[in-house]
Amino acid sequence: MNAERENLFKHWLKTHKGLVFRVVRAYADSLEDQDDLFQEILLQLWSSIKNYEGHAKETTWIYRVALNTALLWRRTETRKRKKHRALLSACQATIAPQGDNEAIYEPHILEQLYQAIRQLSVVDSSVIVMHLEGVAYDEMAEVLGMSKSHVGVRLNRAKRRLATFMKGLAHDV
Amino acid sequence: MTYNQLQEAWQSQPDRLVLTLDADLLLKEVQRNSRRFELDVLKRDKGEVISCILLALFFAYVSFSLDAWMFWFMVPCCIYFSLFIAINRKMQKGKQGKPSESLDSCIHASLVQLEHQMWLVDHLIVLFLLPLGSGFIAVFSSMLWQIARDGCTVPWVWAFLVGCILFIIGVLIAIYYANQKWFKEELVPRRQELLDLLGSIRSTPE
Repeated sequence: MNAERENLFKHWLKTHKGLVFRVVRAYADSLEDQDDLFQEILLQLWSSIKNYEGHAKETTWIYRVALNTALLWRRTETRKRKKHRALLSACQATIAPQGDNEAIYEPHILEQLYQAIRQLSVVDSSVIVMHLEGVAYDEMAEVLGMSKSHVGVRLNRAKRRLATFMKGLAHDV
Repeated sequence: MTYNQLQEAWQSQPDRLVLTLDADLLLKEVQRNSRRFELDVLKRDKGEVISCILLALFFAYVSFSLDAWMFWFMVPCCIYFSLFIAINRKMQKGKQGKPSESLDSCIHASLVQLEHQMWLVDHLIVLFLLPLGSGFIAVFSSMLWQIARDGCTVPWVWAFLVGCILFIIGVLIAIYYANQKWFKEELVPRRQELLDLLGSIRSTPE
């Protein structure tokens, strides 16, 4: 049973690591905070595995755990409580070389996007993050515990606010 | 840049950013942290209860072996605290939210736990300070009564015992004000944050 849990956890890490990293970056600014939040999300994911029966989609489950953890995460409490070594340092991120036909996106645009997301309200930021990820409305509704129409209204409002924060970069929302 | 272009840039992150992670290493770290956290919680829960029981036994032993009957006052005090801590923790354990539930349920569970903490601080005097204070003050008051009965006229003995009583009262007052400060600066704002978050999810924006 433990081996199954471990294998599932490792599978989630390998397959959905990008999702977790992007949620961490959307909710934590400094490297120290990102490490704290990353650690917290992994802990919660590990604890939640015993309740995962496979009925929900893996991404729905992981989004729910990651976003709930991020939304309820408190910086000072986590740091006081944990004595851990930096987990993010266990992961090495490298930028792959760009292909010839790839559109060029300046890294600062993504960084501005992350900063703009951090300025949104916590619920709006979770809606925007999932929409940017390409998550369907019904899955977003399931993760957040809202109706689909509520998600739609929230998303439109969040896009308008995002455009304001992006200040001219996103002018068509 | 349009929103759709922002979305493309966002979704291109996994393609351009190659993340190398050692899943086995991460799993070991997570398991280690999980075990440490569970151990900390166990130490806290069981440790406090066992400490109170041991203190009760200690005071009972001191009272009996040294014929110092005044220390018996501390025995019910310690037993009360051990029972209170054990029952309170047991009742709160089942109410913790799971992050795999909906956001609404998670926030609601956090709010319930926070409101319980606020209730404990609100009733601090009755639940903690009076029982604790009564025990200590009874011990030192009975010592005063004992020395008065024995006709002790050494001034520093009287001053010491009265000083102890005043010190205990001072500590209890300090504990009370420290908790009130924590209540106003931490618990009340946190409660408002959670209520706002809950309201934000439940209301349909304009």
